[in-house]
Amino acid sequence: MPITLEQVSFSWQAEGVFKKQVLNNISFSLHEGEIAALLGPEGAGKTTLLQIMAGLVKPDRGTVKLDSRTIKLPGGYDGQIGMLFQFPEQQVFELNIYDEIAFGPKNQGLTGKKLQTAVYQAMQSVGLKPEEFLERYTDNISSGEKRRVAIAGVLAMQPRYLLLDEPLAGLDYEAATAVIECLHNINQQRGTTMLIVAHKPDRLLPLFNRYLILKSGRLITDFSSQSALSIAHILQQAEIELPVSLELIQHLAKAGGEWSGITADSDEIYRKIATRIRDKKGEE
Amino acid sequence: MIRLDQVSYTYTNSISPVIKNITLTVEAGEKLVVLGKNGSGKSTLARLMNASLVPDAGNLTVNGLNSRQAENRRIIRQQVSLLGAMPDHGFVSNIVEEDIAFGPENLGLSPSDIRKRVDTALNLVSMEDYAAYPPYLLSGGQKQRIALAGMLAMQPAGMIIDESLDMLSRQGRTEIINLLLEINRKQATTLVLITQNLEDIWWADRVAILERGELKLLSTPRQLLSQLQLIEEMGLELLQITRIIQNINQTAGTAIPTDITDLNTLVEILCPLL
Amino acid sequence: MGLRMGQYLPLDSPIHRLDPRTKLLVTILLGLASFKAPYPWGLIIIVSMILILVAASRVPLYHYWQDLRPFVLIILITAAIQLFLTPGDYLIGHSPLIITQQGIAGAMGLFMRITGILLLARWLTATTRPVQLTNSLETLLHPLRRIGLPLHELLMIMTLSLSFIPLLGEETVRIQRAQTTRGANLRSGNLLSGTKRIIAIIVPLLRGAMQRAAYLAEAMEDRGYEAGGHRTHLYQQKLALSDYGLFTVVAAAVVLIL
Repeated sequence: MPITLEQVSFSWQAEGVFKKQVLNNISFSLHEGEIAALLGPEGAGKTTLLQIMAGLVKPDRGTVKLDSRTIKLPGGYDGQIGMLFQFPEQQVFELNIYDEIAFGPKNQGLTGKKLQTAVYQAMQSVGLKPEEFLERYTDNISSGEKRRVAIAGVLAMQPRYLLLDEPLAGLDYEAATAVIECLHNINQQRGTTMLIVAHKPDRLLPLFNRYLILKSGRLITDFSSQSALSIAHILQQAEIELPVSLELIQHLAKAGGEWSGITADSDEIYRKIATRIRDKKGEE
Repeated sequence: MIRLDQVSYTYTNSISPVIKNITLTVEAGEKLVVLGKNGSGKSTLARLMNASLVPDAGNLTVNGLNSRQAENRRIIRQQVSLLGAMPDHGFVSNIVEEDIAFGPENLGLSPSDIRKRVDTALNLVSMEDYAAYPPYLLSGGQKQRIALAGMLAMQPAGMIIDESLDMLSRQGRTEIINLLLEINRKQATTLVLITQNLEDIWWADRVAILERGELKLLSTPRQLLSQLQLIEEMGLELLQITRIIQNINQTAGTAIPTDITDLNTLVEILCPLL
Repeated sequence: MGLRMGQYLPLDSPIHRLDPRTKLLVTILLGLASFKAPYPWGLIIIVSMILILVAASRVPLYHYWQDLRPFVLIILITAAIQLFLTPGDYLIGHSPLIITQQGIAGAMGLFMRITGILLLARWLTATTRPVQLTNSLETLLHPLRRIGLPLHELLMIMTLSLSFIPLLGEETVRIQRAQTTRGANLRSGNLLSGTKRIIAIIVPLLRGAMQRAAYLAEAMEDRGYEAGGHRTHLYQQKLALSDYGLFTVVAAAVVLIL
């Protein structure tokens, strides 16, 4: 069951001095089980698009449908759509970490042991040790930890759809690894559908099977592929800077190698390169 | 300029200290990067450095002024500006240019000087078209640019930038870092950048690595980038290119130097091998 | 992402170019006159003057409407009360809803007075930057300094409290959004769940508001603000011929009418 946007347009102000078209006639469907990237330059309208899909902001024109049912404001889809905000400070509102993460599952009717399990699992999946963080205040943790608390708060509800605005911003290597793994797992196990905004998508590339690119409020690219070379080409056309691994493969292809079968996963890219080096050595 | 002498800090209602016994001197005009993973205490260190927080133990002085004295704190905070990650919290006006003017107005400058500073700052961050906009209508990245302009207009002697360029693309970040470097060169401004991103350290004179509130290492970017094991031990992310080289070396038994940071150089080395 | 109430609108109009002190004085004069001017002709002249000023501001009517909208209900209710409850010469209707001649006059008058004042307030805020407004107030109230009033600090407090109101609103929206995306149902429910819901918002709202205030204070100090410190201003104020002209016309009209 998809989320479908039909000709969605939005302006900061419908009229008046600051009238500015943020989104212009956007249509696409996000299908069950997909993990799509939403990319584009600063101020392209990415955050606004997520807010509209989450039912937080009403579009000026067009509709958003969830399972062919039109989404009405304000929000409240019984936790079917989980949304991570651009800054954790916009999202976190409880005093301590347990209450913050438990807020969603509580609304879903979980209590007692079940609630506790949901909170613990969510914390572990983003690399926060419950014994260390459970009782701490949300004001007294670092911004990277706060972002993980925010992610845990969304994941604890096991939503069918995840709209994630910069899920890796401010996370260190370990934390980012935990979050990426967790997103991969819930997509595999529960078929969770995701739309992810990331200004630095390098580490997320292996997750994506679709690329939506916004520029000045227009959807300029809607592209499904996992081929490193075609993704590199598409990103470059949209003037989005390439992740290093894609740039490398593009350079190598230009230098005359055959790399078309390779997927946009930096691990696979280095493995393929290494294998070819070894093979050539063997020939010699 | 900023001198920390065995500084420690513990937050109220927390048991373990966030900053443990740090001794470090930041010279005037220096470019320092503080690196550390989540929860290493790097933001707390930043707030100690501009006297938003006062050490529990040890002393912190800025140009000889100890941050323990309340009357010094005011002066320190004007000399050393701190830019945080969440731009929304720092806006004092509903109009971009008024917000940027707020600092210079407090310095008692003449209207024409204030105007000059405001316009220059907006130009520097490429936001001159938004002078009369309400900051709250801007995107996350644009807000971060405006907050930076507000800081630049103060022309502080020292600037601490705490993960405030997070919402900018690599290109946008490079643009801003180049801008900061130019200011450092022209006005000998002390620069402290707080980050966990090894991509953002190439320009620094020194890199300080924090781990669990302790100063683990002081190094230069070049030295640091060659100590791969250490970087990984600290829980930091290797440069993408370094990771690729390291993995190729391990799998293919090659010996490509791991300190290559330029992609073209790597391509030149790889092509004959393939 | 709506516009905050009273947001300054950067346009180029004769009104925007006026000295803020003139605009403030004109607002005060016409505001007083809207209250006091005799119905109908005095009031009609005053309201017409306001409408001329509104037109000259080149601010799209949409913005006036945006800021007036929250008051529409109050205006209509008070006007209705006037309309039906003013004793006087019977005109139309059955008891208890009787409309008198005086009732119509009262309702019309009240409607014109309140709308006039609200339009005037929006006219002033749309065409004058908040800092300039505060500065002008400071100039006008300058004599009060002699009796030892800490004018500058009082005005700063006023400005900050005014800017804190939208902040509270935004904080409410933030928490509501954070809660709706996590399954809090803001619509349905009985009294009990309604009360619970309000508490669930109010507690974090108060905490959030306190924190925003603390951040704001910190941000101001970081940028060198000091209570009682000497501040200069970005904008210079200069009276031009048009300022004297407008002020004379408005002042003369107000004096004649009252």
